[in-house]
Amino acid sequence: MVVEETGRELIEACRRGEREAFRALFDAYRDRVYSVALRFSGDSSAAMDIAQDTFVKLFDCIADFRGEASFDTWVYRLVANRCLDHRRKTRRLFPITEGLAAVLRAPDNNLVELLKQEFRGHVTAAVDQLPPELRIAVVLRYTEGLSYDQIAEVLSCSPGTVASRLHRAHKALEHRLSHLIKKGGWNV
Amino acid sequence: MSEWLDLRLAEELRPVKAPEELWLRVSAGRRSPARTARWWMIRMPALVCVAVVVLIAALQSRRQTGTLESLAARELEGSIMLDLRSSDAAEIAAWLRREAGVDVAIPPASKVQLRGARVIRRRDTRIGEVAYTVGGNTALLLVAPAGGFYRAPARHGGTVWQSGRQVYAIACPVPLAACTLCHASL
Repeated sequence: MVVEETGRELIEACRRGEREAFRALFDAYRDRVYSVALRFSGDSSAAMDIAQDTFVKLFDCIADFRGEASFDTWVYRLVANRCLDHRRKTRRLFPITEGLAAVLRAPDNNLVELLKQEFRGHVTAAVDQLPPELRIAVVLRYTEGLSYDQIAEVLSCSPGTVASRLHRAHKALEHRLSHLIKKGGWNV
Repeated sequence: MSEWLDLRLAEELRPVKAPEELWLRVSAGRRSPARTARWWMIRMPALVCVAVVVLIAALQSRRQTGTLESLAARELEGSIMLDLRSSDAAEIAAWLRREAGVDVAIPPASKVQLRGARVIRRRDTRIGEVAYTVGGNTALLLVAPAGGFYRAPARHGGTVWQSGRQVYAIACPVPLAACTLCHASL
C-alpha cells in the first residue's frame, strides 16, 4: 500500500501535472508493473512495451481514479488489462524465446547452470501456454503474492472464480511438468 | 495442489527489478495534456472533412434514388419519353410484365385516356411507368417491386402504397383524379 502510506498528496500532485510526483509514483510501482508484465508475457521486450503502456495510461487517467478501490488494485488492474490486450494484439510465434535466450546466454562450460536454465525454460513455457485468464491469475498470485480476494478485485470477478482459475492452472501445470519431476529435474 | 509446484512457481515467477530505461520510455511515450490537445487540433479538421464528405454522399445518394413517390413527381415535371405508345390496357400490362417484371391490372372500364408506358431503371431495379391523361391533366402510375429501397405503407389511400410484392406511386396535378385509373367511381 505504497500510496496509502504516503497519503493522497502524490496522486493529487500527479493530477496537477507535477513531474516529480510522476517520477515518485513511477518509482513506487515500476518493479511491480514490470514484474507482472514480464511474468505474463515471458518476454522482456514485450514486458517493456506493456509496462510503458501501463504507466502512460496510468498518468493519462490518474484523474479518473476515484478511490473506490485501493490505488494498488487500480494499478494492478491497469497492468492486467494491458497484459491481456497485448496478448490479443500479438500472438507470439516462439513462446519460449526468453527461456531459449537464457540457455544460450549461459556459459558453455557450466553444464549445471545450463540445465537449471533449461528447467526454468520448461516452467516458463508451461506457464506461457496457459490461457491468458488463467495466466494472469497465476502471475498475480505468485509474482505479487496477492490474495484470492485481491486478485478478484483486480480482475473484476468473484473469489470463487479466482480459485477455480488457479485450480485449473495448477492442474494444467502439473500435467505439463510431471515428466520433469519423474526425472528428478528439480534437484539440479 | 502439490507443494513442489507451489514452490517452483514462487521461485520461477518471482518479482524482478525493472530496467532503468523504462522511465525514459515512459517519459517519451507519455502524452501531456498539451500533446493531447495538439493531437485533436491536427486530426479534428480531417475528421470534420470526412464527416462532411459522408454527409454530402448520403444526401446525393438520397437525391439520386429518393422515394418512389418523389420519383413519380420528378417524372411528371420532366418530359415523358414513352417506350410504348398505346391506349390498350391489356397491351400495356403485358408489355410492363415483360419489360419491367411488374403486374399492372388496369380495369377495362377506366375513365382515363391511356398514353403508354416506359421502364425506368434505378440501380438494379426496374420500375414500370404508366402514363395517362385524366380531366386534361397528365398523370403517372409508377410500379416497383417491394423491398430494397422502395418501401411504402401498406395502407391504400395516399399517393404511395404497397400492395402484395409491389409498391405503387401516383403523380398528378390533381392527385385524386389520378386514382380514377383504377377507381372509376371517384
